[in-house]
Amino acid sequence: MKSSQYIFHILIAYSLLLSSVYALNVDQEERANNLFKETRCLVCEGQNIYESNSNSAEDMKELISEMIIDGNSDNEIKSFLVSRYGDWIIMTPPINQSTYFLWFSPIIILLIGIVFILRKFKKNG
Amino acid sequence: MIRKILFYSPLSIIVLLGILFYYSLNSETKSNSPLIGKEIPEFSIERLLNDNDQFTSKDLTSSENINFINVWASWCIPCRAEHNVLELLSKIDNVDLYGINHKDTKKNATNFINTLGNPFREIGFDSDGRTSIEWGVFGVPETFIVHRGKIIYKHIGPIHISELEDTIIPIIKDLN
Amino acid sequence: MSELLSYLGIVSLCVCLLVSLAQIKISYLKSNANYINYFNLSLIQFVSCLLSFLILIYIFITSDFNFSLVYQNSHTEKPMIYKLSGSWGNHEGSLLMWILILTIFNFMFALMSKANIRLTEITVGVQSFLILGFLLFLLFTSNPFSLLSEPPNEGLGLNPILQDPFLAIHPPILYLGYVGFSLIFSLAIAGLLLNHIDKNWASIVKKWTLSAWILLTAGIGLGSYWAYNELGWGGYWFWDPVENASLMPWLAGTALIHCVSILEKRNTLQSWTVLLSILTFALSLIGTFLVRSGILNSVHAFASDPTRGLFILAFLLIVLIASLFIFARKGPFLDKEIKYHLLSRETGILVNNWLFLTILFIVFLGTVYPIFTDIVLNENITVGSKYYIFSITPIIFLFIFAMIITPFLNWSTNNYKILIQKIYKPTLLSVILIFSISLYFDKLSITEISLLILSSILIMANLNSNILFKNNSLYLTSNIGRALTHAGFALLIISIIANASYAKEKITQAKVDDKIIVGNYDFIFSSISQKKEKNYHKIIANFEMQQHSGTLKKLSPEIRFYNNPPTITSETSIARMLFKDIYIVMNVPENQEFINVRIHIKPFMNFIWVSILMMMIGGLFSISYRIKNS
Repeated sequence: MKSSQYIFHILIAYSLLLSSVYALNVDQEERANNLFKETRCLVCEGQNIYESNSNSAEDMKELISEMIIDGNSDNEIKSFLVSRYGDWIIMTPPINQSTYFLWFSPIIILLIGIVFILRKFKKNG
Repeated sequence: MIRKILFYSPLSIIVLLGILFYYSLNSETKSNSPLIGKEIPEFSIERLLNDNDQFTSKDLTSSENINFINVWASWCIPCRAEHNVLELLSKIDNVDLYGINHKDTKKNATNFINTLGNPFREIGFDSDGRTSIEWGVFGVPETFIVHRGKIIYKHIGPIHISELEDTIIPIIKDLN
Repeated sequence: MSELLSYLGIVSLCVCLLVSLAQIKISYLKSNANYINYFNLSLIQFVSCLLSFLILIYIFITSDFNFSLVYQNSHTEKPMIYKLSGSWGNHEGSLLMWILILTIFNFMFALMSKANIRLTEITVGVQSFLILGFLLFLLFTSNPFSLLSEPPNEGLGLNPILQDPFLAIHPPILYLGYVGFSLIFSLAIAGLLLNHIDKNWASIVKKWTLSAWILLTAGIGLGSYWAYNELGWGGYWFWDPVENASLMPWLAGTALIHCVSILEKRNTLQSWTVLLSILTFALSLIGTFLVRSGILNSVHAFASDPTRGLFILAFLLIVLIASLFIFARKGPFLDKEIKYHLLSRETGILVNNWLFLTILFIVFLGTVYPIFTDIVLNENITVGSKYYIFSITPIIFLFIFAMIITPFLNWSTNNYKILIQKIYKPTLLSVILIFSISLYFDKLSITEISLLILSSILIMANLNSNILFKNNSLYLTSNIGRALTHAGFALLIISIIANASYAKEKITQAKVDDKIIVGNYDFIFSSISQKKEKNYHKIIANFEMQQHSGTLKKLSPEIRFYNNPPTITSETSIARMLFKDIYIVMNVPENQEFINVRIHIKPFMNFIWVSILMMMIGGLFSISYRIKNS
């Protein structure tokens, strides 16, 4: 399309339905942004939908905005997404049997370090 | 003694990691849809070719046949490549092939069907992509195998003829 | 002509390969008469690789599409500077650059090493083993000079996203850092084989480690700066697997620098230092593997190829298994135990090391865990930034605490009275300062306030004791390097917190003449225009940022439409002020009379970049002080 035609479309064409992402009030917008940052983009490489500009991300943002407007809680929205796409779609890993090691091993490593140092000083007297 | 074992631990860790990485290189992305084994999502969308009617989940649950649901779009190039495999699929006994047209315009979708042929028993027009999200669709094309109202299998990407033979036909045989 | 160049390129590499074999052989033999030999050979290794690399650059600059690599990655219409940088902006070219840098460090070490001949020789031998391995990998799987039978007229590689000045220099500098640690690795193996891990060894290692560290810090900083400028999300670090892959050797390398200090001054922690030396380079290698193998999802992915991944994995495992086996055999006999007090500098550095390792463990675990759950548990999860922030923040606490105290501790004895004397003033000042600030800016949590206090103490304590006024002149102590680097780190923490807590953003639609309010500023969308450039045309949205009816800044985000290949990119517009950046990106949906715009107010961004520079300059001070004194 020639760029002049493009500008023409922008300036003259009438806008379609305002998308629901923009119909949120301030609190809802904050909830929405937080959920967007927690939802993984389906077609991108590791981005969340807040960051992505892809069509798929836009669709997802619309859906989440609508679910907020419909009165769903954050957890309900997340459950909905997880039921269809799995844990993968939420940016923060869940805390379950499979991920105990992920979440708790750093503390264990720290404790091992403390034990290590204390033992060294018991030896030194 | 413990000290000696301790000094071998970095080596052991590397070996274990090496094994992990080796397997991950050789593995293929399995379609791990959490919907497999569950009931199909409820939906009701316009039919592409007949405005007055709706394509709904009841159409799928009410039949004893094996249902294939293929999500496609006219702007999707691999969907074209997959088309003749779908034609073959639609001719199999006890198999009903349905389509969900994803984020498309009626004009382009109808053109696509008219040009390449219509292997679908029915086509749902999912213009906003909502129904696709209900099915856990990442992109197009994707194909679901549904039997007795449950999702049995999900294929991501176009179906190659070899995949039809190696994977899909055996599933059909199993279900029969 | 192209065939000649192709031959020449490959033959040069084969020369390097053969010479490397020779190097390995002579490092085996124990004769002292090898002095001239290993130096000359290292020169030949360097020159032959350089020749090959120059040929690579030449074929890119001249857009010689006879070469498959040039065809894939270049284009006649590319600006010259990007033709140049395109030569290393692909898998084969970057691999050749890796090898070149391996030979550069090899040669420089042969030239400048103050170690005894035997140690130098074997280090060069090990380094040549690495060169050999990479060369074999390149020649057998990633030949940059392969020719096409029917040369096309034009190339494919004109992706506008890759045409950016920072993206052009980020790989070379990053690789200088990664590969710099190869020399430390070689020194470690050589030291192990000779049972020579002692103060002298530490002294040599320290200088080279600092250099590699400075370069790696620069490389990571550049990558982050590029991401901030180009990617349009206002972020500068995403815990993306490839970013983590560069962070991990940095963490290990920083731990190593501290460890080597103890070895040098107190002749203890030998095995730990050697292990870190091996680990740092191992992480560079693993990082390379993860990036190029395609098993990680990342915005960074090179064109991935599982067969390549298999080769890299094989090479990686050979190097690591061999070196860690030597470590397992010789390691237990290296250590000299010494006695020191609980509240001594040795303990402080040990604590520092353990904390670094914990952070390294977290980053590694987060990066690799999805692979583990996928293969072993058949589950797919995502490990996003919240995991890293949650896990690492408590450690940063302990970390800064240790950083404050340790420089004031003595070696081996405890002197907590002096410690308190040096710290109580900065502590008092910081507590007052941060509390007052937090009353005014009320968004900070307890965690953040505490971290800010600790960071502030760190900066004050460091600068206070190392920048002195005597007789009306400014004196810098010999520890100014360390002080600057530590202060830089503290500033980084402060900036990250301030940026995260006080960033404001708004995503909205706008029509011409709309006013958008974000924070204390009004943004007027004044006009939209278009312009045609050499290889793209663009739509520009002009914004005026106002406060109290005065226009402070003008910002103009763009959407660019490239023809070849047809690509659409979004260019951010950033207005940099002292304490904050204003950041606007836009998106133009089809057939609408409005645009989608994201406006970010990002505080303290400049301080983030300054803090990274401070860390690097501190490193430079440390090196120059060592060179002056040796």
